[in-house]
Amino acid sequence: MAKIATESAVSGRSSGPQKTLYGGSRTELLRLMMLGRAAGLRARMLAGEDRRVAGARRHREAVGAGAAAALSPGDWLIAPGRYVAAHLGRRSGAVGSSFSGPDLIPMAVGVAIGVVGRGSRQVVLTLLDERSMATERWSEALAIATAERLPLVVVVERDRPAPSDPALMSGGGDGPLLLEVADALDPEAVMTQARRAAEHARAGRGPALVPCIASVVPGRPAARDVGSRPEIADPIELYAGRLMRARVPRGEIVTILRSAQEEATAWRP
Amino acid sequence: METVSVAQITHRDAIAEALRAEMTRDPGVIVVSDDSPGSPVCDGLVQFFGAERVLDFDRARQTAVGIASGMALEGRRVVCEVSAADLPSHGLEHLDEAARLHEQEGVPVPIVARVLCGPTSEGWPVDRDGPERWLLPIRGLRVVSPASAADAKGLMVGAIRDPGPVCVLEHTQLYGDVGAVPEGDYTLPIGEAGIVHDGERMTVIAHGAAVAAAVDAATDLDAGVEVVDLRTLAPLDSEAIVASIARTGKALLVEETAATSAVARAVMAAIWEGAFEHLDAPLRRVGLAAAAVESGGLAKARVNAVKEGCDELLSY
Repeated sequence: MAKIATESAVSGRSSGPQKTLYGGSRTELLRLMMLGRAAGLRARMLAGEDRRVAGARRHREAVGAGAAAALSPGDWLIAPGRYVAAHLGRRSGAVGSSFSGPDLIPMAVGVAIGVVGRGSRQVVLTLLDERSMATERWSEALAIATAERLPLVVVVERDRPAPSDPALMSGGGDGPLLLEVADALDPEAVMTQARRAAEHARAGRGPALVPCIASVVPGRPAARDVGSRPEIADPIELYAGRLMRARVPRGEIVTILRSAQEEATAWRP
Repeated sequence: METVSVAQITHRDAIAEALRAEMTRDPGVIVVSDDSPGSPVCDGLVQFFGAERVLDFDRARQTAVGIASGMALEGRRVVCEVSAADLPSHGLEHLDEAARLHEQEGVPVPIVARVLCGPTSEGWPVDRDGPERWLLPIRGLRVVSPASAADAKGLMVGAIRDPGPVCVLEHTQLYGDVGAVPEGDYTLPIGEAGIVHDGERMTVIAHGAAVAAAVDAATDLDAGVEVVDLRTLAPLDSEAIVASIARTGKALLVEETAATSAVARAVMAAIWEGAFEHLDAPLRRVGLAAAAVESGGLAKARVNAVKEGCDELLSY
């Protein structure tokens, strides 16, 4: 869990998230994604989960790392433990040291009420998948957040390119700010939109939603189909290729990926 | 010897007094109320402490416990209310999450959930299984069940001061019962049972609304029946249970709900583990829900059900 770090997630410096990405920050995003994947896989393997199943959940690394990079020092992250990269990005402790509940938006709203009550300018960010939206509690909690203009950012991972039910996203009333990320495999896109959402919330303008759309093979709801061969492209491979095209030396990328893997493998519960 | 002044007040007023006292003592205490006629305990709080500290969650019926948990994470001490029947869909998982965070990660989550138990809307005298069946399996969650007005105050104060999540089972049929309640700062430790009727021949173990029936039965029988009021259901005071059975050799579990309740199972496990060698007779269980339904809710039938159980064990 979550009362968050005193250092910027991506840069490791105490000056808060950077406005633009360059050089080291990009490689740090890559490292965080790889560390998140390797640590998550390691945790699930230690828990006895089959490697084939454990390895099937991809693209959360990009969403988690990007969302974590959008937060400022002192901001709250309330996310299920499966967003390992987000938790590592916020330096919140060991793998598994996170929320486990499937429906965290009421708790996030409660934290946001507390933040406002203290007169703080902190932002509360929560990461969910779209299953969490299929409840009345989602609508109720979001309606309260909207009515009270709470500093809440909800990053929602979706399989489909459009909200299946606009009412689910509206939260009632005028509704929160909606900032869609077209590609959930791109950590920079997630970070950019999550940062815009956080600035909106921090300015007292109410909650913001950032649906992140995962590219899936048509007809295959990959996020739920964990028993089969993954159908979603690998965000780490995609991002590593992008860095190489941006002239980051291949050897540096290989070293980053390998050291992250080794760091996770060395972890003992 | 210090004298403690007491007031004769109702169970409901004792809870309200605890809330008022703790809100006065600690400005971080927040009460979440739906401000409805079914929430008499919170009457008048908003006028005294203001809307910032008595939040109206009328529009958050399904999320009140979750929101309260979040506020507790943010450093407030939050008291919220949920009916036992609504608990599975209105916040059980958030209590579970709060308990896990506190127990496993050492995060303070000072939330008190007042769980209203009592006659169901369908007309049954009580929920025949009780909310304990959902609450007791949650590791790290503390659950208290006051039986008297004094305990209602003392345990509520103890719950509010606890750094972790605590569920207070409020048996609404006790709300009107009058009892002597210590005035001023009065708290009871969570996790400690109490002996409310002395005896040496057998032990009756009860909690909440069942305690009165157990005490009445023990008094009527006048046959050396000791009554242990559990007060806290989780963590169970196994030491007190074992110590009593070590003295008496016989045990009867009296449950407000069903004889097969989660509390009865927990108590039986504690007895098997710690008092097996002290037992001179088999364990017996009585569920008052069945007696209440058969008799139309007559108090006498509840007492008689306990007496029958006692007679059986005393003559063993």
